[in-house]
Amino acid sequence: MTLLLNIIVGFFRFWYDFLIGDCWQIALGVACVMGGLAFALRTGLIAPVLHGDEITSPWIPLAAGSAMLLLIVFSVVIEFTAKMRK
Amino acid sequence: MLSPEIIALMTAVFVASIVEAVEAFTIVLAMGLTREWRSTIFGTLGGLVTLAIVTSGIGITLSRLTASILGSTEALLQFIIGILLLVFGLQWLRKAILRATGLKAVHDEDAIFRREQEAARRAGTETKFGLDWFAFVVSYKGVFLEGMEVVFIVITFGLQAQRNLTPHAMLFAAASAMLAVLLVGFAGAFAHKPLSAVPENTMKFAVALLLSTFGVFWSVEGLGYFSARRQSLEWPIGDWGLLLVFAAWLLVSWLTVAVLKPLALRDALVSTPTTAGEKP
Repeated sequence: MTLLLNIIVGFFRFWYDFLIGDCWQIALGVACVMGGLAFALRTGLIAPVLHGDEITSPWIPLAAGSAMLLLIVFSVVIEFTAKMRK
Repeated sequence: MLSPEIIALMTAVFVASIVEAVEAFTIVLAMGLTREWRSTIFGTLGGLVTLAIVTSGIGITLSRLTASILGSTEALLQFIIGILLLVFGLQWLRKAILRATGLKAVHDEDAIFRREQEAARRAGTETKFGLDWFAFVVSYKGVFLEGMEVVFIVITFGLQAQRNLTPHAMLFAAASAMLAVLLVGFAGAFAHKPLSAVPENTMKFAVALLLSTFGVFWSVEGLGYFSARRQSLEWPIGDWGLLLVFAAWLLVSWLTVAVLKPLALRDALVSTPTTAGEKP
């Protein structure tokens, strides 16, 4: 039982370290931004424009892209300020 | 004629594979020179075989799964892969920026090599199955863990490129990875020392930029799944959006480094190159 538990814990720890690593704020930020945009699209708060058979939107790429750029700057600044305090 | 997507895929996989292979080679070389070569080679081969099994297992399963379950919902697949690449790529990019500003120690293969040799000398002598167990396990883990990052890139990129009607994208990706591993193997065998001349930190920066670019591009396209029409969202400027996103990542990364580096130097926060054996 303990061995099985260790294997399960080890499996999830490996994937947590692999994907999320030492800055969980990035994963949380991506989830919030993309989840928020998905929710807004699903509920019709924002709607893409129909262009022939395709759908497009200037605002969704702009919002998602800008948020991701801010997220990376934010995560680096967090590290910088943490080092400053030490 | 290779599509831009395949060229980007092969470049990202090739560069990432070079970086990871150099890191794995340092560990293998340290074990081989300090402990003994037979166990080290067995460990290395074991790691490579495990990677091949994992890659083909996950790749085939995901290909079939996505074809059967997500067959009619390509946008959802784009969204999932985009998010995975984005989270993974942003971790790489964050560390690359921190290294460029000096806030994080840069990878120094010579220092890592010395540390691994020291650990190998201190370790006890345990023999299992006729092998020096320490040399076997360290080589196996080194090759497997370094390789997993490449496997992740091969599978996510390859799967998405394949969905975009580029047949055999996964094969192209795997071939790039194998070419990189062979190149590093030959260079390492010839040099017989850690390949510290390879500009690993710059290469990691480039891979991080590519992963983040495709992550944003595909996750935004995949967001269309949540609209009423449940189809991929097209970027207003089409595939040129990729170049725009790449340029934006490059500019913001450069600006962040340009602003923070002098501040870090002024406040003496700069980390000296040490044994940064961590990921990525």
